[in-house]
Amino acid sequence: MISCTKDDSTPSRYIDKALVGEWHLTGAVSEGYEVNSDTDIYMVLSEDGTFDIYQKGPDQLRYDRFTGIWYCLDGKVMGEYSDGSAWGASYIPTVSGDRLIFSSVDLMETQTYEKGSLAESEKQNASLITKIKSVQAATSPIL
Amino acid sequence: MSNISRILTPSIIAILLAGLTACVEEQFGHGMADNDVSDKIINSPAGIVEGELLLFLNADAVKKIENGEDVEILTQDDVELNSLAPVFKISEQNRKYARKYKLDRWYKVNFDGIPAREAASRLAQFGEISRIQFNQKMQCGSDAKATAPESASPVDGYPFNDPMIKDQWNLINTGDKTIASGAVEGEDIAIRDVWTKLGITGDSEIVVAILDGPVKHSHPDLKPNMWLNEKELEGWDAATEKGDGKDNDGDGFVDDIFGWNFEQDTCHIDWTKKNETGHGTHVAGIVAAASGNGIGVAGVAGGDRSDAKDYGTGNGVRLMSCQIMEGGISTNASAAAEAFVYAADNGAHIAQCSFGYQNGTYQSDYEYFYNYRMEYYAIQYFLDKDRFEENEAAVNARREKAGLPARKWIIDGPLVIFASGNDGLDSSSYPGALMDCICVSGLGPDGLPAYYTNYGPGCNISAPGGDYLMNPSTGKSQILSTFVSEILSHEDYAYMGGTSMACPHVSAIAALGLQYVKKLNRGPVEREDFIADLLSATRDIDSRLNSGYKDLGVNPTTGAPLDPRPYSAYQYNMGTGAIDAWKFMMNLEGMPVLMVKVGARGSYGLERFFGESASYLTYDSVEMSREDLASLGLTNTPTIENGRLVIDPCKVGSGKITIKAIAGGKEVAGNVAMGSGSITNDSITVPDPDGGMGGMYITREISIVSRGVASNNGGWL
Repeated sequence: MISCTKDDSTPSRYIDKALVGEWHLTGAVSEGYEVNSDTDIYMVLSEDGTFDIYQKGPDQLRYDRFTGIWYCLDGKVMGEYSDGSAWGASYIPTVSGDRLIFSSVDLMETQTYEKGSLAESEKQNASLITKIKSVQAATSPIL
Repeated sequence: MSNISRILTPSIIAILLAGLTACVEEQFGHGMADNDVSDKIINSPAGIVEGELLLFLNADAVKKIENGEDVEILTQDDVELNSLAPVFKISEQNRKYARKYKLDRWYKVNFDGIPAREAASRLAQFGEISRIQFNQKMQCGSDAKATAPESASPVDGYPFNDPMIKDQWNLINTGDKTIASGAVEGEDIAIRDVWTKLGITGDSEIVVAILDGPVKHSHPDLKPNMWLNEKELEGWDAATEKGDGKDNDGDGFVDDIFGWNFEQDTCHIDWTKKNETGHGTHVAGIVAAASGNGIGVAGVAGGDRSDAKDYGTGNGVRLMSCQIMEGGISTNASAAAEAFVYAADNGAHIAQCSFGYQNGTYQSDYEYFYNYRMEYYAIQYFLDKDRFEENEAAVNARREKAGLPARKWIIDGPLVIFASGNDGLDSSSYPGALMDCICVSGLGPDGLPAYYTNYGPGCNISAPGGDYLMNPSTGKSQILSTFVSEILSHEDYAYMGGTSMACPHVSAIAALGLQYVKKLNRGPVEREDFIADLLSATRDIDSRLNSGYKDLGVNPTTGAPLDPRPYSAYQYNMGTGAIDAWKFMMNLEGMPVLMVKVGARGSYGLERFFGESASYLTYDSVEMSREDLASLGLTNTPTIENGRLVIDPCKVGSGKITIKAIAGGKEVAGNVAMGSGSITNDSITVPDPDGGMGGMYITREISIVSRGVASNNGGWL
């Protein structure tokens, strides 16, 4: 089992190579309940620090593609979308074989992924979400 | 002078109907008793066609005419009439819908010697006449600054090899400063990916009726995509473009191959008259000039066939020419009304309408309806869903007979799309402002409001219309499209600008949307959903209108410079924003999910659902079922605050929410039930007398998932 740990004592951003790869969401549990959204999610974490998320709701024909940057800091994974929005949470990652678990730091949600790639044709057809107005949440987002 | 009785030929009488009783107008009331002479005249005699009047006859008079009996109007001496004839040629197939909207009771009288106003006063005394309408003129929505383009050769980097496409910034705006110093890259209709990634370029089964000046159907870039009336093709000689002089389909229109000339009541679409502006030909080219055929320009929905040269060879949407203007003369209510009925009867999906009354003529939907009910009902006839469905069945029966594949059932009702007008004023013109019509305002190559455009209530969406003032030396800041070589230095192409040019972009994109629905095999879609998808497919304009001034040029009458207008005057007044064809197609593909955070009161932007101006729209209602409220742990229905959805779920779960917004103003004029038509018992609605001028509702159903984590932009992580 591999965790996202720092290589030295200096708190700086780094890329944990164990997380690099293409991951397919197999389940998510929020506050003890299964998130039954029927939303298909693929997450691609690249070694150069960029990410792609492909997500498709049950009513959509094509995947939406979100892009941005990701990094590890102080044992946690965090990221920022290309529109400047931060991820909704930072996560404590756990990799075990072909399985990756993201646990939000406040333990509100646990996401389970398995190694898996979205077909190239689906990637090519994905609709790139480029211009999204960031939204001011009434409560502070968990970073 | 022709004899009136000869105008009422047996063939015309044969299509008139018996058995009419109380009329809709009489039921409606508002102090319009039949015997009240002054109240019979329903509009003002300003800006009208002299020498003719439109009469709404009572049921008894219509019956008498049908039976060949004398009616009082024909025997009176007060006004010497040249002719009395039904306004509409009513087809057998759609007779019951003509009766529903009382179109069969409208007659046109022609006379000489006295002003129309005086003739109306005299005729109003006769009990056979229930209403009299002056045939008021309308204007086309173009500033008609036609400019010839430079010669061009094909260029690399564009989806099509049409050589002039590089100057069509409305399609692909590269920010080229020779177009205008203020041109901004990407401020176009976002069509490139729709053409190249989706392969959606046009479909010959989809018909757009061009209610406008004549469309030069022999134009090399329009010829391949002209609508050809299959019912009249028998006996038509393609080489000479002449028919056999017979009414092959028996609908009252002889040899109507490409459409009809309602100004002259002839099949001869005439673009050669003195003072012809080329307006209709220009508008048609924006919709469906043949794309990819290596000549001239590309149309938004012009297909992609390289061999599109002759009639019927293109695979773009079909252009039906309904000529309601002639030789630069504005149209009138009668011609426009007749054209709506013709377009409906001949299977048009979209009525493309770049004309309207001068801004300020009417201030509310009801006022327009009250004054121009013949035209209003003709629009309602076109929009009628039951009629459309029956017409689709008839079209397919004909196609089957001709050995053609059936036309797919794509949408449950047709669309009417109007220009908002070029008065530069803060409301739309009518009829475009009607809540039943999509109304389009104009943008320049900077993506900002053009100097001429109307804005404000009634304007539902914006599109490129060009802006002459941004580059008056070349005119390239306007819209380049097909033109009439007979009238401008033998040029087949020219630049023109106005909301007339903005409107056909939306018509063409709507036509492409229909093609995509067909391709996705998702039809028939509900018209209201389709319109909501269209009007919410926009880019933001409003955030760019916080400061600065718009150059308005000079007063066209006096030549005196006009004071620049603050851009803030346009803010939140350009409908839902700038049309984006790609987003429209994505909307048609399905709705994305909105992820919200459980256990926290959150405020979420609705841009992905209502377009990028979502935070500036007026929202009418939010609805959720009891089950969905429970699924998300909500005690109250979510609300909209400052254009954002505010929701406070306390359970992990999912549900659907229905949000209704207003596109084009702060309110919707609204309709009220009219009661029942006396023959068909079909209920119809009319504008609410207490309503004003406003936009149209757009309703979207959104899937919501509440979970422990939610980003601000809808992304999973």
